[in-house]
Amino acid sequence: MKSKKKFEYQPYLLLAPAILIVVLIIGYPVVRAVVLSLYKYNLTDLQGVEFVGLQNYIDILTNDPAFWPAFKNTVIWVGVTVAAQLLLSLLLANILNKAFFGRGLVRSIVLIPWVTPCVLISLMWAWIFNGNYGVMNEILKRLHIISENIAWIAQPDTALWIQILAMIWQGIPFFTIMILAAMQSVPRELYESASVDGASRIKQYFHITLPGIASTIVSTVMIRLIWVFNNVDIIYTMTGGGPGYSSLTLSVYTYQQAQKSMKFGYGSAVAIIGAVFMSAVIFIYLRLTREQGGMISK
Amino acid sequence: MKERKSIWTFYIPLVFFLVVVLFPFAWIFLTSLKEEKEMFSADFHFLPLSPTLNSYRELFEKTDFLHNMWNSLVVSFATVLIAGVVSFLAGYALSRYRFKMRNGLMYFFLLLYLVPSTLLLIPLYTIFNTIGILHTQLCLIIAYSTYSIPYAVWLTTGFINQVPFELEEAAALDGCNLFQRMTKIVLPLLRPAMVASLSFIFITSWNEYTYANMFTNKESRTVTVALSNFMSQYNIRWDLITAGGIIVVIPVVIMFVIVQKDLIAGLTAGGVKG
Repeated sequence: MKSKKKFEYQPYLLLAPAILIVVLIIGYPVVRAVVLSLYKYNLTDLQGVEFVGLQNYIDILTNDPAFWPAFKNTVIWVGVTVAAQLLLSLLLANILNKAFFGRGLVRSIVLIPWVTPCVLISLMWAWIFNGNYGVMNEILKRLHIISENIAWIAQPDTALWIQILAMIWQGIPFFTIMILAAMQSVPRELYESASVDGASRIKQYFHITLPGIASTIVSTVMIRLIWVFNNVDIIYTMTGGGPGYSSLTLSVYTYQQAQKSMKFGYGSAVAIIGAVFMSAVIFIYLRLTREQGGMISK
Repeated sequence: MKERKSIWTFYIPLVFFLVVVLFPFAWIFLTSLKEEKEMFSADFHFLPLSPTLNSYRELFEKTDFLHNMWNSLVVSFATVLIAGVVSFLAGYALSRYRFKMRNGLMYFFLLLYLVPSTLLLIPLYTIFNTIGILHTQLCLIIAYSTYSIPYAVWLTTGFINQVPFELEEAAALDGCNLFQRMTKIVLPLLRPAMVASLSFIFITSWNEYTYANMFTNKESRTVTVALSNFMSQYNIRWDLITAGGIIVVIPVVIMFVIVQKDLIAGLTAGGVKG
């Protein structure tokens, strides 16, 4: 817009506060996390702080009974959650894209989970799936699907799945509004001419709508992948990663190391391994979806 | 658009989504109205036998919940203030000027927004501890700024892009300087959008738990941490959790319903492109 040739100091001046603050409170801590990960640094034993090089990383990858279960759970937690969110949101966006009485109200309602604190989401679902007094057991018993109460959250093979359910519930609204906005920006003429040509609704959906919203899907999936990976609250509040390691993810494991064990060096190393893993996933993802033109590849 | 809506592909899924979204809230609300002994009775009732506000009374009279709410309010408000000022300046620069590092900086802010909080958690703790502000409200404000500033910069840039530059050019011809143009022209036009994005930052900060649980003590504890503390290993106070949950979520939902239209317009405008 402005096209003066001489050096402009104004934009840098305006940006200075933002850059200064983020370098101080994000840039420096990231560097410090890398440094800490090379130390044995336990808050409970500050006399014993010593430089150990890559020992934390070696211990985590080869000698830590929690790490690989957490790694596997992370893949399930992120993969299943984001896939289910995407499918359900496509469905919901399709419904909300139609004109009907009360649409505005319905849209507001379905967005509410998005602004509900994750801690509360976790507690709500924990109460619903409570093994002794939970309403879910009661409903399933009355429908004769189960005959005995199930301890959904207290048993290893169901705990993670209840949390995935809660996380799916939390994430659908954000996905849906992004998809809905994209659907509304697809030119209407495309549908009209397709109708003239006799293309069915389903055909139109796959040949016009989906290609039209592909770039939004690509970028929203990326953001969700990262958010779901980062989320600590839901699992930490509901089970703390248990029973055993059955619902432990890498983020929750890092949090445990920091909050409960106070092992800051080791915890930092876990966090960095997690961040590197996630960066690799995102890198591959962006490569695979380059043609859809997400917001990064542009 | 006129189209036929079939019961199978429209009404049933719609009702299903509404029920799934609303049921958890309805259920904790109903629970919060029950007598404590009824919550844990083997004889199951969906509706409270004799509705009572005892859980709420106990929440406000016997716990620090009001104080926790105050803490959350202060921290969230300060976070919003910092993010608002800083991001308005930065967003203006990124939107109005074309300079060498502009694109790089836009990606830089987006990247920062995606830095995992678990990575920052430990170093921030040691830093706060060293400079002696651990367990104060200030350290939470700093921690919340780690995500709110990049997010606000990203959104604000997109918003300012939508304000026509011609208005400013005209004002510049009339002798308005940069500061006057920003405060007298851009800011008023930006108000609904800024209110929406800052409200969202408020909501996110109010809801935050990961940092708050690590960086606060009894005195500075926020409302989400207080809520989760009702669930200790040996004694889960479902009466306080359900009542507190309703109290925590109501202001947030009201705020969100008011600003959601502007917020969604901003979110989907695609601030990074262009």
